[in-house]
Amino acid sequence: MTFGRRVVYNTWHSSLANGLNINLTKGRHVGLPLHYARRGEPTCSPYVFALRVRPTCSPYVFALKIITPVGANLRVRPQLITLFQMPDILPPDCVGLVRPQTHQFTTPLALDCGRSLPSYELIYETYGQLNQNHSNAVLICHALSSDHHAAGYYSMQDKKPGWWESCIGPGKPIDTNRFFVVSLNNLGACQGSTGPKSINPETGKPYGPDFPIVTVRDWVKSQARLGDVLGITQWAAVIGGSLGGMQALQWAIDYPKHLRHSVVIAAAPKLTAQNIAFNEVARQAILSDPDFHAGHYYQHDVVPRRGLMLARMLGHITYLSEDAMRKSLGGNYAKVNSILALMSNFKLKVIYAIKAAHLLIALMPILIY
Amino acid sequence: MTKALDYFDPASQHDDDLSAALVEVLAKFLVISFTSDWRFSPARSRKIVKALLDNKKEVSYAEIKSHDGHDAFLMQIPHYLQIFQAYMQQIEITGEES
Repeated sequence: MTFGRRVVYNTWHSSLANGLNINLTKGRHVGLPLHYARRGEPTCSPYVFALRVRPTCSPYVFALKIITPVGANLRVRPQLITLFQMPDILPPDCVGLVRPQTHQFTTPLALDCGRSLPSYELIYETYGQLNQNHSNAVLICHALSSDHHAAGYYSMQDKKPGWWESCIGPGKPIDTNRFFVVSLNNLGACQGSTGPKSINPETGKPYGPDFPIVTVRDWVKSQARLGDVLGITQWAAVIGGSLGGMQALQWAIDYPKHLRHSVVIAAAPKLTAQNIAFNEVARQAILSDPDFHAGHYYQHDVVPRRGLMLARMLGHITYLSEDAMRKSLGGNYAKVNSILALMSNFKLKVIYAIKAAHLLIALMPILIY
Repeated sequence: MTKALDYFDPASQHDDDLSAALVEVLAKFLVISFTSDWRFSPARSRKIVKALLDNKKEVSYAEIKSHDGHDAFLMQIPHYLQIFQAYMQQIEITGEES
């Protein structure tokens, strides 16, 4: 396939992935506009079901995986739009390539709910160097559906850096030239630390709904234990946004002598009734999905996708401002469904969802041409 | 996970008095909120700030103008990053070469 030429790619035979290699020009943001048309209707309403770009051996040759409806003709017009792509050289203010570590805790952790976890694992990453007297450590607490990968890349093939790349790195607000930064995945968060997905040592099966309810205080307690493991008796700062900010506040209350600064961003001292109601609707969306199986969905080898999708859509609406939502829609309210549905299908985390919305908006004029 | 959020209420053990919950606090605080965040609005952050001030704790507060809603804290908003950076830079690290 040649750059700049229109190509008809027939996916009639398959409703699933079709790969094709496309040579792209060099640049930080390269990608492809996609135009879909149903067979025999070259200009009718185009839509993308899913799009994945995966770098192959050369950084500028991509395997483009496109999932199309059965019987759709795909025409690719390689003009420039923005897709997420790993820069070919890491920017100087990036912490670079990182690798998560796991620590197994064998001392039982007594939880707020009255139960205790006999043993558990925490997965975490660190950036920067711990100084000699261990006085430069900063703890990052993550928000609701986030994880320990706050900065840097896992490999040169990664399309996205960690979730707080904007604030963590050399010369950035959380300056890794000065600070030793620790970012962990909280208990129960299912991104590598012990949670409902983990095997319950007492039953040999995944915890599922039997996983104890963990609270902000429990998280803070487990984070303090991680600090002990790393030899950090006092954090220079504990920092978090949203639910992470609540952890930073709880730290100052529960372990006053073990931190010097608490940075609380976009948080609250407790949820409003409205916040709690939103969370309840999101939970009910998941609970009412037939694939939920009373929480034992891991054992049934299914995931309550529809419920999760609804919950994510609801959450996303509450994270956006009126302005941002209006801007995303570009005045066309009919697009809201497709935008949110696409975001859900992509299984993007909420923090990337806005970027995805912008990407889709960028795609719209091309899709509709 | 959402339950952890719902149950978060440090003031509940102090007769719903957030100031009382923060009496023992020793840390210095930076609190930041965003104008368009209606999930955890600036008014909510100001409650934290007020409770800290009630106890004469050291707190810096910034309310950032932004259209990005709750997710603003992940965004590259220059004013926000500058304030955040300035605060972080003044954190003293013992044993740091100057």
